[in-house]
Amino acid sequence: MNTLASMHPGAWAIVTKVCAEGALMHRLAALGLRAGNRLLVLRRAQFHGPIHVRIGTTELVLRHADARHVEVAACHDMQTASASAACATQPIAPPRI
Amino acid sequence: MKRIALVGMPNTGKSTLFNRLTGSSARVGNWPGLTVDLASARVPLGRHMAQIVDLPGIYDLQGLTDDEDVVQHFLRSQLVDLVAVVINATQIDRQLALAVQLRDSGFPCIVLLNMADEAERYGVGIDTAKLQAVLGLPVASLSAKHGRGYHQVLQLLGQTLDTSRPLALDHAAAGLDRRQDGHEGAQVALAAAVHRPSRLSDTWAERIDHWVMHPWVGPPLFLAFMALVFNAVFTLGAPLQKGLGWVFDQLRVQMLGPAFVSAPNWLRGLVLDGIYNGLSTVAAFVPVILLFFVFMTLIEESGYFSRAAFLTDSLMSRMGLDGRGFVMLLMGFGCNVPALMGTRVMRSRGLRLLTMLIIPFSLCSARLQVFLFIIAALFSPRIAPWVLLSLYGVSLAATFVSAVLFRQRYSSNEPFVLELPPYRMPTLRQIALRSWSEMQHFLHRATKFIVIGVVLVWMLTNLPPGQPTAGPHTLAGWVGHALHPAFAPLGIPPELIIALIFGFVAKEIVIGSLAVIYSLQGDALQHAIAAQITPAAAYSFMLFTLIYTPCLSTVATLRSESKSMAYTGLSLVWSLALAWGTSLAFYQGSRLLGLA
Repeated sequence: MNTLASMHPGAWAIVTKVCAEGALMHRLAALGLRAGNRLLVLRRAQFHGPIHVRIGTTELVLRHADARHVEVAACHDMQTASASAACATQPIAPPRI
Repeated sequence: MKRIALVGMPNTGKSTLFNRLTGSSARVGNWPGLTVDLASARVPLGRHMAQIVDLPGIYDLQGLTDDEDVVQHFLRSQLVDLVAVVINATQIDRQLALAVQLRDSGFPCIVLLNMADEAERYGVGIDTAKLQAVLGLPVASLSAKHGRGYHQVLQLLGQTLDTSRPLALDHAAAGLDRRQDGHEGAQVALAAAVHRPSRLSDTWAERIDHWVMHPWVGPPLFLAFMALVFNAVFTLGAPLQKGLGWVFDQLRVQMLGPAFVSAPNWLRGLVLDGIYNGLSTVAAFVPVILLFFVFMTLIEESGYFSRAAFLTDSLMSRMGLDGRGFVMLLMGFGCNVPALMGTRVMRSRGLRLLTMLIIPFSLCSARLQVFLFIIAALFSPRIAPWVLLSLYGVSLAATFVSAVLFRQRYSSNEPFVLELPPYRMPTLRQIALRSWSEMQHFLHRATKFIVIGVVLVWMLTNLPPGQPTAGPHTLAGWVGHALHPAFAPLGIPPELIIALIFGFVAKEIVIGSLAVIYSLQGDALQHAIAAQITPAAAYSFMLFTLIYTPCLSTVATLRSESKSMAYTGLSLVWSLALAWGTSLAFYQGSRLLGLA
C-alpha cells in the first residue's frame, strides 16, 4: 500500500485511508485529508523535510512522519473532486460599498 | 446585553473581522476557567448592544488541542446568544463542516463567508440564498480585509440577534457531548449550493513558489530576506531609539532635575535613577517592537511565513521544534522581546514554551554592543571578527543544546500540518493595527515588572547611602565580593560581577555601568580592563554575558507570555547554570592549555 510519504512531486493520488487516531486524525480530516479526496503532491523539502500537497483549494505542508499515516492510491488524471459539485451558481461576490 | 462568539478555523481572517467589528475598543481579558486571554468588545448591532468575543482558531470541536479546549470550555461556561462561524469562502469545501457541527450541537449560528473576493478569483461559486436554505442558518459573504459586504453583515447580525435566544448551558454541554463530525451534513449543503473549480488557476503563485520553496534556491533566498528585514528593523529603529532617548534625557534635565533639586539625595536617586530610568528602558523597546511587528505582519499576512517554515522544518524537527521556531529564533538575534511575543502563532503550549526557552540565547543587538566594546579592548583587529563570529556560534550551540535537553519536558502534542495560504497583500490597516496592539500589550504587561527591577538594581548599587554608585561598599559591591569565589574560577573579577548585575536590567547599560564602576570612559576604560584581565578571562566574561539571564524586558515577556512563574524561574536558572558551566569549562580549559 502506498502512503503519501512515498509519493513523488507532480503525482496525483486519491486518499484511501487515514491510519491515525485522536488529534492527528481529526486535524488531517479537518484539513481535507480524508478518504475519497484527491490530492496533488507539489514538492518535497530537502533532507526528509515536509511534503507540500494541494487538496481542492487548500495547500498543506505536512511532515514525512505524519504523511506516512495517509494511505493513497495513485491516479493519473485530475477530474472534478466530486461530480455532485457541478451545480451552476451565481458568483458569491457581495455588492461593492 | 447580547453575546456573540466568533468561531472559525485558523487563517480565515477571523481576527481581521473582529478588528473591523470592534475597532480600537477591544480589550484583552481573563475569563473564568480559561488559561488564555480572549479579546472582546461591546458593539452596537441593530437594536442591540452586543459583546463580541474572539475565540481562538480551531479545526473542529473535538477538544484535542489547547485551543479546541478553550473554545469548548467557553461554550460550556458562558451563555452565548449567537455563534458567528467565520469561513474562508475559498475553502468552504472543508470548513463548512465546523458550522454544521456547531449547528447540530444546538447553538444558534450565523455563517460568515469571509475572503469572498479571493473565492471569486479562484472560481469558487457560492449561492448564498440556497446555502442559507439548506443549512437553515443565516449566511452572508464579505471581505473583512477590504470591507466589501461588511454593512450587510452588520445588518444581518443585528436582525439575527432580534430572534436568536441563547442556548442554556446544560443544553450546550449536552450538545457538545454528542457532537458529531459535520462532514456529512456539509457535503449535502456543498452539493446543493457550491460550485468548485475543477482546477485552480493561479500560475503566478505557482511560479513564485517554485523559487521561494526551491530545495536549493529557497534557503539562501530566505536568509537574504531575513537579513534584509533585520537590517531594516535596526537601521530604522536605531535613530528612533536615539530620538526617544534624547527626549527622555531632555525631560530629565529640563524638568525633573530642577523639580527634584531640593529633594533629599536618596529620593532624587530613587525617582530619577530608579523609576525614571526604568521607564526610559521600557520606552527604548517601543520602536523596535513597532517595527518588528510591521515586518512580522508583512511576513505572516503575505503567506511567506509558512513557506519559510517549510524550508527550515527538517532541521528544527530534529530538536523538537518546527520551522516557525527557526524564523522566531532568527528574529531573536535582533531583539529577544518581540521574538518571544511572535511565538504566539504556535498554538501548542509545549512547542511554544520550548521555543521561548531557546530564544533568549540568541545574540541580540544589545549584547552585540557589549561584545564589540570588549573585543576592541582585548583582541587585535586581525582576530576580532573571528572572536565575534565564534560568539554567534556559541549562541546557536546554546539554543540547540537547550532544545535537545528540554524537548522531552516540553513536547508538542500537535502534528505539524501547516496550511499554506495563498500570497496576499497585507493592508496598511492590518499592519498598523497589529503593531499598535502588540506595543500596547508589551507596555501593559512589562512596564511594572521592568520598573521594579530597575529600582532594585538602583538600590543594590546605591545603598547604603553615602557610597559612590556601585562602589565596593554598596550592596552590589558586597554581592560582588560574596560571589567572587563562584566567579574566580571563571576568571571574572568583582568589578565585572557588578557589571553583570547591571546587565540583568539591560545589556545596553553594561558598558555604561563599567564606566561608573571604573570611573573611566571610552579608550581609558578599555585600557584599564585590558590591563586587569587576560583575553581568556575577557572571553569567559563575554560567554557569561551571552548566556546568562537575559535582560529584564525579556524576563518580563517570558513571564507574561507563559503566565507561569515556575517556567520563567526555570528559564533563568537554566541560563545561569549553562552560562556558569560554559565559562568555567572555557576558562579552566584555556588555563590548562596555558592561554590564560
